[in-house]
Amino acid sequence: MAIVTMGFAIVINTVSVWHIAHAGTYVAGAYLAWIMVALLGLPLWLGLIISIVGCGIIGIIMEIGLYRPLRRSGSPIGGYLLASIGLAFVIQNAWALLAGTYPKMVGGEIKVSYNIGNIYFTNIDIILIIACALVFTFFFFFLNRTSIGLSVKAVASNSRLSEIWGADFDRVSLITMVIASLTVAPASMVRVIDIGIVPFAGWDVLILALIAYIVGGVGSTLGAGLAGLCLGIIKSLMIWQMPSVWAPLIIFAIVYVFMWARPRGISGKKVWVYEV
Amino acid sequence: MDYIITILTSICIWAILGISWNLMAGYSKLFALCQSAFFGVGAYCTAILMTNLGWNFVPSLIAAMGITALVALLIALPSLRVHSDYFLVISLAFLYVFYHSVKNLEITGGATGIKGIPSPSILGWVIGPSYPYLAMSIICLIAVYLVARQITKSAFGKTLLAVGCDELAASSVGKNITAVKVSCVMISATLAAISGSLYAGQMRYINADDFFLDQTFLIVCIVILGGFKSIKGSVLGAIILIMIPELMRFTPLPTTVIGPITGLFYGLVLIVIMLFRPHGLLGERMKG
Repeated sequence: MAIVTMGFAIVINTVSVWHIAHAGTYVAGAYLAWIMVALLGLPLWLGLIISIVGCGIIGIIMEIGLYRPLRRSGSPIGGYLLASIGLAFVIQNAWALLAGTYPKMVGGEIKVSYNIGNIYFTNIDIILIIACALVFTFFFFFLNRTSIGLSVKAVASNSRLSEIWGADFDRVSLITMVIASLTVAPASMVRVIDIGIVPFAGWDVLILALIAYIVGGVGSTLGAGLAGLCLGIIKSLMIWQMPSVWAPLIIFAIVYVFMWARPRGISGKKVWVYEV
Repeated sequence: MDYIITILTSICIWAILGISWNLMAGYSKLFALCQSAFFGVGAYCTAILMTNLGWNFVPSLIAAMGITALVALLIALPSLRVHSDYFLVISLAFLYVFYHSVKNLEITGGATGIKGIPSPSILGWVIGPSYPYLAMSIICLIAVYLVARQITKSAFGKTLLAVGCDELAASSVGKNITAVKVSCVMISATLAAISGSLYAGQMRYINADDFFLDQTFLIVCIVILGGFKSIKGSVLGAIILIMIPELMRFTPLPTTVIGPITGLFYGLVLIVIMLFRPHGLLGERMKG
C-alpha cells in the first residue's frame, strides 16, 4: 500500500502528472509474476526480478509513448489525467481479456501462519513489512543522496527554474517513471502470493493511494508513504472491530475531516502556489 | 423494434450525463470522477421513493434532483475550498464509498439492488416501456440541452469559463471562485440525477454495479470524444459510444469477451483523442 502511494506521489510531484495508469502497472506487474511462476514454472525470486524489470519497461513505454508526446504538444494537466485513465483502462481490460477475470495466485504454499497470543500473522506479512521498509529506505537515499534524486527533487519544486539550471526534464521524468514503476512490483508480487490478483484490482489500490497522497501531504513523497502505511493500519484495525464493509466509509471520513481541518496533510508544506 | 427503442432511450440517458459532466469538466475544469455516483444517487432516490413509498414519478424525480444537489454540496464544499485537484480525489473517494454503501445498506436492497420499480405515470397516464418512454427521455434530453445552452450563454456560464481558464484572474475581478465552482458541481449533479431517474424508470431494476467506475469512465469518454465545451459534442459522443458495444453483439464474439473489449476500446478512445485531437470531435481547441 505504502509502496504504491510513494510511486504515485513521486510522479505527481515531479512531473505533475496524475499518474492513474500506475494502477495498470500494479496489475501488470502482478500478472507478469503469475505468468513467470505459474505458467513457466520459474522460482519465485526469479519471477519477482522479471516482474520488477517488466514494470520498469512498462514505465519507460508509458513515458515515451504517452506522456512525452503529450508534453510536446503542450497538453494541459487534465489531458494527462484523462490519457492516463485511458491507459489504466486499456491495461486492466487487456489482462481481463488475456487471463480472464478469475483470481490468479501463486506460491500460496510458502505461506506460514504464526501467532503470538491473540495476534495472528503470516510470513507474507513479515515479507511485506521488510519490502516496504526497503523501498522506503531506497526512496529516501535516492531522493536525498544521489545526484539524479536531487535533480528529481529540483524539477519537482520548480520545473522551469531547474531547466534553466540545466536539468533535462525529459530525462528526469523518464527516470521518475521508471523508479515509480519498478518499486510497484514488490507490492504486486505480495498481492499475488497473499490474496491473488484480479484484473481490476488496480482501482481499489489506486483510490487508497490517492487518498493517502492527500492525507500524507501534497509535495512530500515520504509523507505520502507514511500516510499510506497509517491508512493501511487504521483500515485493518477498523476491520478488526466492525464489519469490513464499512472500511471504505471510515477512510472517506478520514479524508473528509482532513479536507476541513488540515488540507495540507500531515507533513505537507504549502497547499498550492499561484504559478506566474 | 423494442431493442432499437431501448438503445435510443439509453442514448438519451447517457447524453444527459455527458452534458452534465461537460458543464463541470469542460467549462470550469473540475475533473470529478463521481458523476456515476450522482447518477446513482438520482436513480436510487427515485427507485426508493417510487417502490417503498409509492410516490409518483414526477415528485420523486424532483426529490431526487434536490437530494443529489445536497449530496454534491457536501462533497464539493470542503475540497473546492482548497484546490480543484483535491476535488478529483475526494470525488473518486466518494464514488468508492457510494458503491460500497449501496451494496451493503438495507434500504438500497444490498447487493441484489432494487427490483420491480413501477412504470412511471404522469397524471394517471402510465408511460410504458416503449415509445412513450422514449418520447419522455427525448423531452428530458431536449430540456437539459436547452438548460445547459442557456447556462453557458449566461453571465454565470462566462464566469465558469473564466474560473476554468484562470482562477487568479477570475478572483481578481471579484468573483467568488468557491461559490461558482460549488454551484457548478451542484447543477451538474442535478442534471445527472434526471438521467438517474430516467434510468431507474427504464430498467425498473437497479444495482450498485450500474453506478461505478466503468460508468464514470464511459461518461468521461463521451465528453472527450465529443469535445470539451461542446454540448452537441456530448450528444454525438453518447450516440457513438453507446452504439458501438451494441453493434458488437452482432459479431460472432463470445459475450464474455465483449465486456473487456468494450473497456479496452473506451480506454483507447481516451488515449488516441488526447494524443491527436485533444479538443474532441466538435469541441473548441484546448490551450495549455
